[in-house]
Amino acid sequence: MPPAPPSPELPSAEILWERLRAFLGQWGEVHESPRGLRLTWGGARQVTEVELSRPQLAEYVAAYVGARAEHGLDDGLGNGLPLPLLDSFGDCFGSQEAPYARLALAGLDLRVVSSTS
Amino acid sequence: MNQRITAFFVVICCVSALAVGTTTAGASAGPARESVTAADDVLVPDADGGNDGFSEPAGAGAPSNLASVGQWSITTTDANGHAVGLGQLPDESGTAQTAMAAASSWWDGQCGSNSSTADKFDVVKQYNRPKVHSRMSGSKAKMYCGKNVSTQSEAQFGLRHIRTSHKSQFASLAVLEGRDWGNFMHWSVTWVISQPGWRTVQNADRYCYQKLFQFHNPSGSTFDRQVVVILGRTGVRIMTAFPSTNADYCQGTRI
Repeated sequence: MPPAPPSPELPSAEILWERLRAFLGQWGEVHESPRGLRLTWGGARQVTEVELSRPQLAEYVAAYVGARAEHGLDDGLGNGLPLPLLDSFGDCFGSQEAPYARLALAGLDLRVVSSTS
Repeated sequence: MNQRITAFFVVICCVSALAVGTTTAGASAGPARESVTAADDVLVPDADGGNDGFSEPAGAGAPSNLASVGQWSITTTDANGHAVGLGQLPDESGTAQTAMAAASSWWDGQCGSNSSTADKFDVVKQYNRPKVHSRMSGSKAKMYCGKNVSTQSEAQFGLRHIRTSHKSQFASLAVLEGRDWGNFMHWSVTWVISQPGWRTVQNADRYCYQKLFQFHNPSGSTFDRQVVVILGRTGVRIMTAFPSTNADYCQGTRI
């Protein structure tokens, strides 16, 4: 059996958190909340909240990058974060019409778990 | 978390809350799909499939309490600023083929809803996409069968993803003119990709396109929606498409 590839070195949870915060910040104001990060956008009329903690984000990224490395793939990060995370946020946020939507991880993707109409 | 993510490499076995792909009547009415190797993003082995078990979120469909459903008209504007109606396409698109592809239920009959994604790179439809950036390959964007859940090897993309996550949003707008979701999705994506309102290099792996669509009812009231299309690294793979209320969705460097 060939030796396992070395585990890629990952940024700290704080750096990953700031990356996520900066990514969300493209669209509006971002603040921390008890659940994670809240993005206020659309002239402050709408809120998208990502339910995630720093440790959960770090664990998610480590598992994602580690699994890719085990299969001989590159880190698969875009903007320093997993592409499925970025893509699925865009999908949920971009099509949001409700004043408030809360997103949470389901596997590798963020999904809408709660919204107000 | 490791175990949970690793499990995606094996099999995903959930029941979708959204029934998709069961219509067969339209399957023979459209152009034959071509089976190709995708020329977009990194192609890697992928053994996943299946649905995600989540209900479709309430997204950017039509506003509630709209009157005269079925009597509205949906328009966008061409490169000369002229209004064009649903069904009218850019000159280069070929109306005969598009009319078949846009037939009611045709898009439900493509690719199926099974858990296998062996056919994820089967091409359902190609769209003229001018090459406007060095990273872009060729002059077509492609709607692949795709997959509706991400794995470590690649994110969700294509028709299966759009149908699972955004069908009801397209449908709630299409019904205003008495049209099918796929009818409106296909027509709007054609315009967004060929003549976008604007487009951006969203990051090293994605292009973002969006365009304004207007909805008019017989009494004169109107509202707007954007339709957003995200393309992969080389501008070939359609990752997703959805209606949006966000006039500033596409971020990044404009091209």
